[in-house]
Amino acid sequence: MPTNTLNGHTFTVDDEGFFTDPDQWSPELAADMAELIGTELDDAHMAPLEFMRSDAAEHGATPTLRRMHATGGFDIKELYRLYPGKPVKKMAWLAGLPKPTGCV
Amino acid sequence: MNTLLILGAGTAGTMAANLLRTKLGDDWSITIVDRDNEHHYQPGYLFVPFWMPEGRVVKERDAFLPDGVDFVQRDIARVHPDQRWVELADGQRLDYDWLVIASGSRPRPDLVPGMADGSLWRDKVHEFYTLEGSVALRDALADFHEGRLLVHFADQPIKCPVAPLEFTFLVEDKYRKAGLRHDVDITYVTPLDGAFTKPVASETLGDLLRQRSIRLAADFAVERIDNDTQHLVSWDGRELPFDLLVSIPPHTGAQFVMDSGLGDDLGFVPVDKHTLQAVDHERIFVLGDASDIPTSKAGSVAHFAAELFVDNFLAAVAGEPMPRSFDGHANCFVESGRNQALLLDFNYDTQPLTGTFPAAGVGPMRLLEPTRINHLGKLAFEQVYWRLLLPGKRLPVPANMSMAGKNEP
Amino acid sequence: MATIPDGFVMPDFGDPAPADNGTTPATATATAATATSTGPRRMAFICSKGNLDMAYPALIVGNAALTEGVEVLIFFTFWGLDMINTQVNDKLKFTVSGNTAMHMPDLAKVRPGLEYKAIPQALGNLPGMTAYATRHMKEEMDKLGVPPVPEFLDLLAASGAHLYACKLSYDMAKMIEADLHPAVEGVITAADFVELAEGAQIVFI
Repeated sequence: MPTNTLNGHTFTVDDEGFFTDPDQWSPELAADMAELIGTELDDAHMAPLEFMRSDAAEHGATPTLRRMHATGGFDIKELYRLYPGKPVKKMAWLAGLPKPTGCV
Repeated sequence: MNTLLILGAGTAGTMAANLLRTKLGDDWSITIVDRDNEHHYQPGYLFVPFWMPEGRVVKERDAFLPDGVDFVQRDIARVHPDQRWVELADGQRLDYDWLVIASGSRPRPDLVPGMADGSLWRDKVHEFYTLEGSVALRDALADFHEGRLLVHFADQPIKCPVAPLEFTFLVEDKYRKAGLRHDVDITYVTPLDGAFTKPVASETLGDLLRQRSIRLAADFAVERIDNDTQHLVSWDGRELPFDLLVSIPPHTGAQFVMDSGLGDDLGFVPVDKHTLQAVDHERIFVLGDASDIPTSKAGSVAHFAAELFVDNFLAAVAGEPMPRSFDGHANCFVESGRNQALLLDFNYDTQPLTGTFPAAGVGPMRLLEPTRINHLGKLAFEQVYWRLLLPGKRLPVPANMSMAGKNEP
Repeated sequence: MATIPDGFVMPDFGDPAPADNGTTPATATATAATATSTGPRRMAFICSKGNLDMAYPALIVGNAALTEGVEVLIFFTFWGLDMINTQVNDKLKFTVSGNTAMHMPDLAKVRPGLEYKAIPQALGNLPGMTAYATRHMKEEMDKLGVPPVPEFLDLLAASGAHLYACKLSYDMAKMIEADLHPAVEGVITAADFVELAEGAQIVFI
């Protein structure tokens, strides 16, 4: 299994680069990772990541965009604005979670 | 000799004259004043644009007044409550011992900028709260085959607050049947936050609007009608385009009430809402739309109130405490198109609820649900009005509202 | 942007350029001005069916495309118009009739092997069969977290998809404008759509 090292943090990832162990994640690491994709993590960016982590810890799966809206109360347009392009993938990656498998 | 003077020979005034003539002895003279001799069946205004012949709406006022009541056909100028006399427009003086004000309410198209004074008035801008308006609207609908139709009311209070909604359903039905519905875009525009003032009915009626593909524009406080661009404009800047606008303007009380200083800022006379006695003048009672009671301005309210009023009036005359308390009971048939109607039954404290009416569990009418029998009830009311209600005969419905048969929310 | 360290494995997030997420709604009049074949990847779906099972493919694939940063346009035409008609889009139906691929995994509980047998066509015409099949399909979709069609349209619109009704179908169906799902941006002609869809991969359903 590949291992990534960023600014002194080391974590294991799958072949695509998603975390395999959420416990190796930290907010500081997320901030460093975000810089790699040109995003600066502020509170608005962190809120969905935190929801995703707690929801995934509870249910064992990375939440879908629909679940972010229905359960987390996040505005989908806003998520697209915060993480343009591929919001679901970006958020799952930054939250230290596996790649989302849900369709919707 | 005691003198009772009734101002206004409409629904409330005529009922009061009929009820009191049988109760008051020969030592009472009763005089009723109105400016003309045309009694209009106002619920008919709703149907004139669709099918009711205009002549069917009007009958002579004096035909519904009992013997022993003097009918004076004159405009009223002013009430002098302290000296207890009424000044007519020609200067004539009518003294009274007791006064009943039943002068109703009147739509005021002059209060909406661009309405009565606009170039499209009675052309593309209409109302149906007068016979003249209903007839003009009937002709306009006959030539209207496609475009945006707005049905709007400006502000509470208006007579029969559900009538604009009924018109909306009926006009939707008309175009649906004509096969033109897809060419006519219908929007119901209201200053309220929903289809009705009270939550349960608002939800039911709102669902009905959606089912009928009628748009709802809520919280719309009208500022003016733009005749040049054909837009209805609200204070918060919304502009709704129209090809035909049906707009019910705000209402005020009669001019003489305003001129006499008896009314509030809209010309409605402040009364005790349970006894209907004027707050500032114990010799004045107010029946029907002319008072400021917080319920619908509707014939049913005038009817229920009139029954209680008679007992209270007789007690007041005798110097006794008034025995009965009016609860604001209103009962409205709401035409919903497709030969169906809903029935609303409510009062000051209870919102319209679902259930059966008048007999609990039996009906035959169903509350807040579109049914054919409710529609037949609405049509039958025309005859009930002329034959039973105006002459003051008892209807099989209690004056105060009953909770029997109603479902608690 | 920070540089990616050597040997660092990370997902492909595509071009860093921010996508246009519908902040400038295209309308029938603002036609091909926004269309371009040189920008990010685009997909255009043409939905022509109003059955429940034929409504979902474009919605699901379209949603997946959006989350992958692909621009999505959907054109609703013929029976597909029912998908955006609020009077009926919560009542789309699924029928066994004409569907020879209709077999049910649950039937293995009755007798193993039965789960691969197509349900006889004659059964599909029994009264109540379509209602049963529809309810069953809705339950299965719900279990998988797939929202009902109206809600799905809202999800797509919020994610930046552009939805259009076909003018010809709209006129033919005598559709009432007030019944259009609010996420629909306009009623446009086929030619308008072809222009808008320039450079897009077309998916016809």
